[in-house]
Amino acid sequence: MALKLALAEVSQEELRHEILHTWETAKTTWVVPLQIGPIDISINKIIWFLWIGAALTFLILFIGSRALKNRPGAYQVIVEDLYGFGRNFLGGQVGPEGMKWFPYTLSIFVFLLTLNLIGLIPSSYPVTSNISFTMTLAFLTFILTQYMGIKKHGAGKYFKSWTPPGLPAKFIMSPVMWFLHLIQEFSKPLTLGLRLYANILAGHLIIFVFLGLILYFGSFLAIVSVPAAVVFYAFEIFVAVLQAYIFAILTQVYIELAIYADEH
Amino acid sequence: MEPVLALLQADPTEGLKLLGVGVAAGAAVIGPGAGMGYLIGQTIASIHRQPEAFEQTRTLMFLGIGLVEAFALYGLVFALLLAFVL
Amino acid sequence: MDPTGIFDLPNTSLIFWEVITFAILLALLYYFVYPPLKNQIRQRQQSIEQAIDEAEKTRKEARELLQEYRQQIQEAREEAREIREEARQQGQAQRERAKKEAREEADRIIKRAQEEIQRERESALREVRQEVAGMVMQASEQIIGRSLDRDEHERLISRSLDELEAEVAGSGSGR
Repeated sequence: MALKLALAEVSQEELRHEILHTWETAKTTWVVPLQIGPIDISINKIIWFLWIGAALTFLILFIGSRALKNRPGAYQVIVEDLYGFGRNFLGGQVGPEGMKWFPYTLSIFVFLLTLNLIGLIPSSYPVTSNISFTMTLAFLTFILTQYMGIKKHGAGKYFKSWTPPGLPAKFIMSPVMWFLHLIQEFSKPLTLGLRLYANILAGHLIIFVFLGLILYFGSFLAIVSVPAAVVFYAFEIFVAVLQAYIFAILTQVYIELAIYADEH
Repeated sequence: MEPVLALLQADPTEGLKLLGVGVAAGAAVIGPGAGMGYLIGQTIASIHRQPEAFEQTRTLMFLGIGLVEAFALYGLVFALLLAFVL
Repeated sequence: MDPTGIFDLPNTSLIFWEVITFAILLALLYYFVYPPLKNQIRQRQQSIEQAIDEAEKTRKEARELLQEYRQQIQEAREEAREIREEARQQGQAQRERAKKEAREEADRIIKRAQEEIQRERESALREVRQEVAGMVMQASEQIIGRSLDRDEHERLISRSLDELEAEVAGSGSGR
């Protein structure tokens, strides 16, 4: 796509680099090279922001949970509300036994929210727009889901519960339905990871594309593209909260569905 | 005219790729657009029918928006893959 | 594999560090954050429940107290009304009695005065009569020159006195 267009002050190639700058340079910035055997585990900008997010998540919750008073200040109320939100809105979606998993999903929620919001700071790196990150988290959900299902019902009963009861033509339909459920079971984490990744990446890309248009068409376009970028930035804050919530609640629901697999 | 000429002189796969980008991103928007319209319309109807359940309905609506919106973005991701990576 | 970094799939370092970071984060949160938060919320819930119970109790007590006071006030008011009524009745009776007594007293005084007058009048009449009788006897002795016998005498006097009396009564009524 090395086209040089007449209107452009920059080439498409350069514009592309400008738009994708965050993702292109992340792997080569602030690098501490590390390696285990053939696997590269060097620390780069992505990892730094992952750690910043994790540290902030921990600090936000930790400071709120220390120095607890009976007459709470505003900050303590926020943290307690966060916990109450986890208990009331994340836990117990399918049945009461899922309640013991809500600290896990609440951790995911706060972690993802922090990472999403940190990613909105200019020249930072949105870790949640990295598909490796979201897929790993979704894969953890997948493992937990299957683990809980097998632990609760035993492997045979759990896998048997994937075929709905009362099928006509049982010998033919049961394997088909089981196979469909298998696909569904694997597509769950796939869509879970892809959803978060696509939302955050698309949000950031839209902002960058709008600002990139200024480079391409000239600075007069700033009248249009800067307000548009600001609007999308505000929308991204909303999306950051929403997607963190959706990831957390779907994780919870998947785990609880596995726990109550025999009821469906 | 010059951009068009440049396009014509370029590798034809580039043009097809751009076409694919447009189709992928554009087609992916159709379904979620209809779905989100239906979702929000139903939400409004539900709120009008039962205003006391507003909080719950709103929460579910946002959840639904988040889920539906993702499908448009899958298309966008494939478009981006076509445009930038492949 | 991917120079643009937007489809950064096998990013081994990120996956490795993410798993480790997330595990540490979860461990820290489960160990340091959630237990005190849980305790705190449970404690607050308990204290709030206690406060609500207490408030309920206090309110009940207050309501009972109010009821009692209201009843007392009602009773007091009733009593006051009774007392007032009684006092009024008493006063009324007193007044009636006083009036009656006064009237009787007055009647008695008037009656006594009338009787007195009657008596005075009668005694005065009698005196006048005797005197007149004496005078008439003297005068008639002088005129006739002889003494009438006693019976005749008496009869004459009596007749003339009756005439006089009739005259007096006539002039008295004509007065």
